[in-house]
Amino acid sequence: MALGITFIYSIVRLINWAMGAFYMVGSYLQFILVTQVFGVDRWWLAVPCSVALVFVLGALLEPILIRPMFAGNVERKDEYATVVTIALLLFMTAVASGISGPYQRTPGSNLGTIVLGPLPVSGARFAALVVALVALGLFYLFIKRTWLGMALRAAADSRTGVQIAGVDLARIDQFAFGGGVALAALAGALLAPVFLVFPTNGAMTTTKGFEIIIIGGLGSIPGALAGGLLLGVVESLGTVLIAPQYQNAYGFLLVLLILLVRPVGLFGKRLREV
Amino acid sequence: MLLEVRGVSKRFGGLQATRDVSLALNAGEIRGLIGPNGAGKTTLANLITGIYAPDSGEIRLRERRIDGARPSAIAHRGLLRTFQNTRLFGNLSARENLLVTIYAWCGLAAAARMRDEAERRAAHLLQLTRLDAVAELPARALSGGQRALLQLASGFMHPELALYVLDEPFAGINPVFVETILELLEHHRKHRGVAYLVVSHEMEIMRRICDRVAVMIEGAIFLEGSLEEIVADEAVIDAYLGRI
Repeated sequence: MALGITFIYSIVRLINWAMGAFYMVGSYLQFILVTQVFGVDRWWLAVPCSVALVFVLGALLEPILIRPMFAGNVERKDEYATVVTIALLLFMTAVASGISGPYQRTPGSNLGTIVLGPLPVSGARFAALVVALVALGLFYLFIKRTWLGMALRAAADSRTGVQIAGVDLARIDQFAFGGGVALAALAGALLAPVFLVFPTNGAMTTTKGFEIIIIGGLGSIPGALAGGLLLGVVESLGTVLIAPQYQNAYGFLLVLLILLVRPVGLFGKRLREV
Repeated sequence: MLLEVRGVSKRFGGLQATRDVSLALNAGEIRGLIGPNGAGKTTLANLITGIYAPDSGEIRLRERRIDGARPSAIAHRGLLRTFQNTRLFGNLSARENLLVTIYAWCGLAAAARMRDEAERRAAHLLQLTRLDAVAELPARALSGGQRALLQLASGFMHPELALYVLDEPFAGINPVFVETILELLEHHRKHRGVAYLVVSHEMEIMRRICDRVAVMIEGAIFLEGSLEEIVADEAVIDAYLGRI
């Protein structure tokens, strides 16, 4: 999730507030695919399908909603992006409520509880962790080893530079937006059995996603990975060592601390003013 | 005729950056563009390479209109430029910076097929520019001169480079690198007929490499000719000294 936010920001230079909506869509698609098409035992087949569908959705929405921002007739790009993506979030949440109602659903899971050393862990949670790690590994290889990954990294370094070199930036943006929301959908699909499926289920993960971004530094992909790990550790330690009922508060305390000590985040870079 | 600029004007608010500029270049030609600061040289470079669209006039590359086209489309047709403040991809290695141009030119599917060819060209250019020792370092770790060389070399990766617009390629560059740059320019001019439009204040270098030089003053082309003719012109000297 955090990776998706930072990925989109680093390339398209916009903060996508609608990430939670794509997380939600991912979890609903997972729910529908598992209950209607694949069945609980083949949930792992439903995950890539949900992700691919959300990628297509993002790639279709980008030219309509985001691209006008770069057309030159929009004066305040940040404000435009904020309004458009928040509107998209509200719209998608409302549509989901309209279709499915406020009920919490679950696709179920065929994985029981596994015991890791001294800790009992729910199988679905563990599977989510493993698949997420594999996906991150693949993402890293894709970014480092392929031509398209190289073009994406180049675009993150200098948007003008890639245009001068002859890269069609519009298509890069479209791909980056689709890829970013697909990462949100991956989180949604994987966590559907754990955090359940309902129209506003993206809110908490969006908050966590932004916490991770602040900790790690906006626009830094290693920062997103380290921030996620750190947030998880701090919340778990806080739960065990201090009091479990404030689990979500520890993360915010960490965010405040980071903002005080290093406002750009652990891996963030100060933006050069032009 | 490789490049034809006809009657191009561009205004930014109250500032007439270029007025009625006309310029023509042949393949394999090295044309200098000089003029006092603020004369509109960089604006002209930006107009030719599509960063700005002109308010009026037309620009043709090999007889086809390119004014108003996107920079990426213009780059695709063999017209590239460098920037005075180098625009490299800081987090990519020097070698990858070169490869981006190939990718940009031929797209994703073809790039995969061209991988070997692209790597070979990159290795060759790294050797020519003596950057092979730093090929795997991120571009932001390179020195100013190395970055300028790398930026220049990235354009030569373009398989159909026809015209290369160089904005102050020698400013603040170690003389050793200047010689390497000149060798590169000459190599590609001789073997591929690449033409150059060089914006520079370095008169000594301009005298060595340019067949003809155009002087821009207050947004317009004031005079064209060999550098000898130009430095002999009283009006040009006046303009440089601010007596016009």
